[in-house]
Amino acid sequence: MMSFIAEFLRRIWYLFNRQRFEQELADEIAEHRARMPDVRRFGNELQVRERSRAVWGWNWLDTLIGDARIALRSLLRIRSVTFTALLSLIVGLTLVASTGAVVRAYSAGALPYPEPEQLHHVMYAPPGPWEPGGMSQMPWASLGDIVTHAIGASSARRMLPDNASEPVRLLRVDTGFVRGLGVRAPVGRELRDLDFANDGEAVAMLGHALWQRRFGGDTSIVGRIVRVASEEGDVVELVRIVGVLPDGFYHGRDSRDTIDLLSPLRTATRAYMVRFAHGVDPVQAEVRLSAAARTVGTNIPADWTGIRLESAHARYTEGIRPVLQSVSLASAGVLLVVVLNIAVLVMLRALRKEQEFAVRTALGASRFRLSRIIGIETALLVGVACLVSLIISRAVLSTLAPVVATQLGRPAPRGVDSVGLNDGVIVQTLIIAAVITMALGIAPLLIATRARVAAALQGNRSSTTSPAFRRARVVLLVGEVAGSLALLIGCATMVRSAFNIATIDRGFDAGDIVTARLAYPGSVFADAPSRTAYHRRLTNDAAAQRMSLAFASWPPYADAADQVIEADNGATTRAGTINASDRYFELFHIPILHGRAFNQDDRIGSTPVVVLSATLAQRLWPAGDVLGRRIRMIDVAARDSVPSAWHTVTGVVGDVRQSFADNQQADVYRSYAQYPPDRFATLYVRAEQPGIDAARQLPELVRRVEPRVTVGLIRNLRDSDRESSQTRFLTTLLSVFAITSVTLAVIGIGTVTAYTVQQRAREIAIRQALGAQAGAIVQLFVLNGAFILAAGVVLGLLLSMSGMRLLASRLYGIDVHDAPTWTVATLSLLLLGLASTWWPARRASREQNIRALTSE
Amino acid sequence: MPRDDGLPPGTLVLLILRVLSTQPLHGYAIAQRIAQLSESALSVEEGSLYPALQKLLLKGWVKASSTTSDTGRAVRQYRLTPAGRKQLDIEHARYTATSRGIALVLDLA
Repeated sequence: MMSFIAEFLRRIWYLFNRQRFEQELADEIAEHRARMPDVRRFGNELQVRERSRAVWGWNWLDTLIGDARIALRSLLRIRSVTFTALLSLIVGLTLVASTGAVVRAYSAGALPYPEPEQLHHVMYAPPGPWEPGGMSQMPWASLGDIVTHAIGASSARRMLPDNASEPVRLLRVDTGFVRGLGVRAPVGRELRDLDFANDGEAVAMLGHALWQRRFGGDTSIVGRIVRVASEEGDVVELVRIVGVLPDGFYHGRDSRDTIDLLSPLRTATRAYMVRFAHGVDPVQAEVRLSAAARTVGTNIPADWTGIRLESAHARYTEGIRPVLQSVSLASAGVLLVVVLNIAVLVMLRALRKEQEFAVRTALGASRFRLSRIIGIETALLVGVACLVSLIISRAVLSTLAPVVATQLGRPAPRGVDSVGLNDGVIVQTLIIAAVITMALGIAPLLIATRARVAAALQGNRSSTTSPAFRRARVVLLVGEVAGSLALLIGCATMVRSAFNIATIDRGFDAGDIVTARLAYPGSVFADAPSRTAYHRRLTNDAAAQRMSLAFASWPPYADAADQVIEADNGATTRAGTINASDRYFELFHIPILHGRAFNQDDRIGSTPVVVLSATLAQRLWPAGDVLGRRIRMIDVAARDSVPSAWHTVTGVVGDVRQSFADNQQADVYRSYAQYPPDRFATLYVRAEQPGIDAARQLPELVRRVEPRVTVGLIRNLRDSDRESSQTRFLTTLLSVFAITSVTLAVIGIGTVTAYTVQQRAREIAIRQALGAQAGAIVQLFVLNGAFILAAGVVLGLLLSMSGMRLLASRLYGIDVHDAPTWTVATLSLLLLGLASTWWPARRASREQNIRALTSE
Repeated sequence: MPRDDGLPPGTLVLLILRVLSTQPLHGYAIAQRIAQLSESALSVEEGSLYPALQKLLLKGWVKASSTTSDTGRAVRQYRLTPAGRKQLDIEHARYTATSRGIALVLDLA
């Protein structure tokens, strides 16, 4: 074994010192020959050197390099075809690598927990209706055969008084959390069983980001005691830091929700997630868990539907999945079109090289050698394309990764930077490239191995223009047209849907509005009136600085929670409920149709008032006598809900669509002053004069009015419109894909027609000589192209019918099978395709083809 | 057509190793030495000598070092390595056994 390794190393050594070795051998032979009395006895020196070289076993490499040279020369000879093929491949592979990187970054494996596919969220009731009580007592021990860990946590905000005053996120977790999510400590240690004992010392693990930000990544923090205060600052706890959490460890539905402090939860809590044992069926698990919940549950609603489970990955990618699926499918479609297109080009190239193959065969090149040269040619083409596309993808991804995260509304589980060209993506691209290489090599191989020397050299019709090859070409082109049409239809439908979304009247104007969240430490405002007074002061100060400011309980772009509304005439309906401050309608440009908006007279203690949306007013009082009438609300999500007090209607405002798909335009606005929030408030602000940057001025404004109030989550309101941005994103991507594939299909059909025209030059010349008009000749080729197009269109329509279902959830105001869109897309492709056939045919018909007859 | 060198098949390596066991030599000298020691009964064909020397280098049985010949040319001089010496013993033993066997058969026949 050792000698084998030593021999191998010597071979490698030789490879790297080849030139020197060969020179020494040449010198040695020269010396030998010089000393020989009769130099002729030495024999063929070149052969001696060749045989000596062969001993080292690298001759195959020389042959390969030689073949590669031939392949390269041959690629460069027909530059236009090579260039088109290369460009198509680069486009296709770049699309696949880039979309592959995005899809992988959001895949199940990307969740930062061991075996993430075993993790499932537990939903005790659907969103809205109230949940059964007593769920913290679930008998997990008796469910041990299906659930290995029940994971529970409770989140709170804390302050670190010894450090900056920024609030930190404390997560109290049970042992199931630590074990079930595989919490590890890169520095220090994890939480242990002893830490969960009721009389144990107060300990915590420090979040990685906080550790870096506040403690400069100092490892000596482990073992130290830090003071952790409640947000009000009235309760201070001494906590020993035992370790640091891994970078990027998060909890929840967004990888930006990192944890600052992780400490043991010493009371029983409701598990929000479970880790399954291997091989557990979620549907059966739901049945078992629901049955177990019934044994311990209290106040179980009569219509309780049982426990539902959702995989951690599905929950993370909820809303994103259809986008990712559509993009993957579209990029696979483009790649297919690319491959088909290149297959056609490569086949045409091989046909043009048939004579060369024949000459080489005649000169003694074996079929194997020819096949190898063709293989190298294809591999060179795909290899270069692969390399270039990986470089481009890398650049594209590094620029677009943050954009992708914003457009999809949520960064990848391992953060924005994980959307990149990692090993997995590179391997995937290389595998695809290898498969393409093999697929592309088949046609030329067949041509090379079937090349008939005599026929090819005589310029006669040979095996390669046989019906089988023509049929193959037609099939490839039909596939190309079909794929392009499917993409074009998908893209056109999405564009129309995006247009509908962009032009829909939402009933409000979010332009330039900045939103932010205020946090009120408990000791700042003694009671609700003081909070309301603060809101008014802030609103007035903002106005003095030429900024409109309003408060509301629920931002647009999210459906407001539904409540049952009962009118004083006995009518009931459901409506979204929003608490809004005085200037809310003015700020959002929501028209006041009747009566008045809220004003300073509306306060705690005064008559409760509401403003209704036009739809709701119409629904409750069809006769229109709305002002001064009364309604009350019943919260459907709360347990033992009792109707609220009666509220008087003071005004009616225009309808608002919170999201573009919001069909529930019945909304109740309550006075913010009468329902002031306790701890947090969401505000909206818009600059009323050019040159004022509301987002920049807001923190200073808040600080000046009340320095103890903290302001966070400042962002442009439009950024909250995730549905629209995802749709725009998908539309943009699909447009790029569709344009690429249609261009390729048109090039493919055009190139084939041009080639066919060239091949049939003699026939055209004879027809012309016999008096055929230009139109008749053009018709000949256009009919042929029309056949391919027609077949492609039929196949493409069938493909679209099944593929378009994926887009259904993303469409707004347009049917998946919208006839006008499909017709326009199909006709466009047909016209482009026919034009690409007509052009080369027309050129040929105008030329004097008589030369084709005399060339022999 | 290769000339008849008088070498029994498979013995070239043995002979090279043997002549190198006494002193380092360059290619031409190896051929000369074999011819000289065999009283011209054996002549090494150059077409076989150089590939054989490459094989010995590859196997690690000899080492080459650059030196200057009497004529002033840079030539490689081959020297036996410990592995080569071991190989010489093996080849020698194998040859002795083979030739003894052949002799026995010839004597009995």
